[in-house]
Amino acid sequence: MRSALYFLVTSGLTLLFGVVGTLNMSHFSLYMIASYVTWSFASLLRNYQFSFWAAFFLSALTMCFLAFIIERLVMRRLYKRELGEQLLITFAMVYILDDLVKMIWGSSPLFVTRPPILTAIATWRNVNLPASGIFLLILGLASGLGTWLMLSKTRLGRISRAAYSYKEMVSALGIPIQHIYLAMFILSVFLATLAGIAWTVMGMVDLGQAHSLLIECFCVMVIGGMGSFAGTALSALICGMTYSFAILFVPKLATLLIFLLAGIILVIRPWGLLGRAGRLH
Amino acid sequence: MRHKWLVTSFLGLFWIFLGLVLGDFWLHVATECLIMMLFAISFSLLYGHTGLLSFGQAAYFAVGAYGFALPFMRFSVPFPVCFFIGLVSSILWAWITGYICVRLAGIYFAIMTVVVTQSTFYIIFQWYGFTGGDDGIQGIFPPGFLSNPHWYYYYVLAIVAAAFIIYYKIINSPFGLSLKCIRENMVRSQFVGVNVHRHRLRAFIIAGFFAGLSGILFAPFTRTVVPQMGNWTSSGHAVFMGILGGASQLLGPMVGAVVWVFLDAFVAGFTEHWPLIIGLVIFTIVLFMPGGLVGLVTSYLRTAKDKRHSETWVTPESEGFK
Repeated sequence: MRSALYFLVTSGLTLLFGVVGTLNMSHFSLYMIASYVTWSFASLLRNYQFSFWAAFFLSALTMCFLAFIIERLVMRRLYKRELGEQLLITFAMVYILDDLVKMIWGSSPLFVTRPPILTAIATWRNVNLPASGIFLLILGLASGLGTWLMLSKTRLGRISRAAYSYKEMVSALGIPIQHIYLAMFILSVFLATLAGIAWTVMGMVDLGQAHSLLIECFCVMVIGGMGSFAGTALSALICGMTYSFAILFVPKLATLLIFLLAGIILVIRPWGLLGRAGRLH
Repeated sequence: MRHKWLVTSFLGLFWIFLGLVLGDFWLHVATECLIMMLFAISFSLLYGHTGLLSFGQAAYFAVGAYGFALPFMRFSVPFPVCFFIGLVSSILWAWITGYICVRLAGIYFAIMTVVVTQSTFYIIFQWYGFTGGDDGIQGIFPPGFLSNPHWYYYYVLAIVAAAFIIYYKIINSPFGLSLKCIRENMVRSQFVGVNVHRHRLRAFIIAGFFAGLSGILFAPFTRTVVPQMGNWTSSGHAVFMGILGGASQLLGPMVGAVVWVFLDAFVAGFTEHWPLIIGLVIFTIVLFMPGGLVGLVTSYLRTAKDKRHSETWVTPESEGFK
């Protein structure tokens, strides 16, 4: 379950970094905003029957629209700039977005009413599994498979994989690369949104949820190899397992263990498990 | 040359003079400016001079503060010894974590520093028995004559001035020039025989030393240390000050810190949406004035000077050529 959450959050980051070459530090804030938006829709529609599922789709739509606006206003000015400046701008966005969230939704934690199907507990051969966990797993698997299929089978996917290797060549072939970037940004925010929605089922929506995931997801990204989609899936699995077992035995050290793992991997393979050595600098 | 000495001695006298005339509130603000300047220097040395964007300076800031406060409060070790312990612990921590971080470049480095600072925060936060966890450590009163705010101001001024001179010497030494060379082109500097890894590790440790020093000054100044000092948003303050003043300008950290502390004191007074303003300011500076405030002033002065010398000619340098 933890792996699925890591995967959902990190895959968007990796995708954007891989294809566009921009690291979006405010990705986690967008993930948090998605949770808040879901809460808003769910409480607006709470008198109707399928309020949660309606909120699911509505917030996904809203977030895609928000992503579109952010891309047009901010991100598109960044692609040509240096990495340091890109980081600083998206870092400034963390401040702005977090404060906007505080302004709109206040700073007290909120709860989303879960539909009955997600509060159930499934029992399978004496193992109890909460349905919300299964939901998260399915969401993670589906989006992972979906993105993978999109990347490997469709035209858009092939173009973006080409952009990953040779940016200049792609635009020289007459493909409007700005549109590809826009699509990638929206897709990455969409993945974060899925994670944000899934989180509302798991726990409470609050201002700290982005920061607590931040360190783990960056580690997942570095361990898997930056820009490598399969690497992210693999390392999300590893880190999720590490975290889940650590929380059983040494709960206080769970986050640190992941950090330690990242440190060890970086000393042995600085480019990550499935990354490419050439992309290091 | 004469010009530079004039500015330096003017600034020195100005800060000394401030300590004599200011009342308690303003003295507090001025002391904070000086400490924050040291913190900003630690960021500027890495970003402005070595080209390493570090979001991790808060880690060494916090380690310095805790390294100072823990023996001081728990084991009542004398003040100078605690000072020394704080310094050594921040340098050691910078060494250990820096060894991993500087193997990476660009974006990987930035991420790794975020990871380091967040883990430092978690260690301090979770290790309740030793560090006091969320409660932090309260009531750190400086001993003897330092408990007088005026004397404390001069104590801070002396240390920050010394650190500033060290910083100045470093960036103008052969070592500092090779750091600049690494910033401009890492591969080429490797070709001319600069040991990139070792140089960057040294720069990282020196920056950790500066951050630790500012943490040591900060702890008795606010009388408390809290784990939030090591958070990555706290690193963000160093980033903000460094960028605001102009990270590769000599006086950049000072200007950035002064503006930051003033904004912090006043903007926080009438609005609680302080982070929003920080974000917007960073945004504007990075997009529209890459040299920061000091960069803006120097390029303006240069243009004015060139205009005076030659009315008609416009040289590439006069165009704020970056």
